[in-house]
Amino acid sequence: MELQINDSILVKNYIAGDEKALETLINRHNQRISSFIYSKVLDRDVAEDIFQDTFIKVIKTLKRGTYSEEGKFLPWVMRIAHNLIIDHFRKNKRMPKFEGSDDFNIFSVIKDDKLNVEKQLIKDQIDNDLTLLIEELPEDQKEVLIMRIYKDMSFKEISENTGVSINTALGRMRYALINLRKIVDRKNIVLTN
Amino acid sequence: MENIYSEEQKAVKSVKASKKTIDFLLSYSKSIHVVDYRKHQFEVTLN
Repeated sequence: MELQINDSILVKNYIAGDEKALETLINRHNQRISSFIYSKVLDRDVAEDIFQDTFIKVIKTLKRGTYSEEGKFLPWVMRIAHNLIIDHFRKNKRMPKFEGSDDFNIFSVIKDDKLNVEKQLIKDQIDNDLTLLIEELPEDQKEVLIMRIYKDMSFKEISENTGVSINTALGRMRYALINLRKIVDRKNIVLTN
Repeated sequence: MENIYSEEQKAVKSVKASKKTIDFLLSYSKSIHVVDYRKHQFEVTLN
């Protein structure tokens, strides 16, 4: 039957320079400490990291000679692990990370408003076609349409600038649009985006 | 028949740190030395 040396003696031996004692301590408590950490973080890799950090602290404290032996090695190590778990969650709270899952992708909700290259080309083409079509309109209608659409002026401003009444400006705009549609129909132009 | 309302206890998954991690810790332990100088302590890590 194998005689089990208790933790206190192993700790003393380790402090005295017996590296094998540390191996025994780690192997003896590996499962208990790892399972405790895993039960809180539920991630194998994180649990492994916290286990490693826990024992780095244990090693440093023992080597510095600042550990006070009271026969409570395991509760002491568990306390270190517990504090590191809290640190881990605090750190994650400060920097929350979002991971999409298979059935939900964040980029399906957030998207770039800019047109893609193809749509931008089509838009440019339509703008060019429209500019040419507007050139075909009678001068008074063309003037009102350009002021309203391209210069974004109100009908009041248009009337002041052209010296006609608001109603006349409205009428010219209406005829400008009707005539544009007629030209589009007559020339079989397709303006779509 | 009487209902049992107690919840089934969640199974605690038993895990162990990998051999790689343990080997790292043992190597780390061998490499680190604490040097006392007057009132200060210095950690020396050998590569």
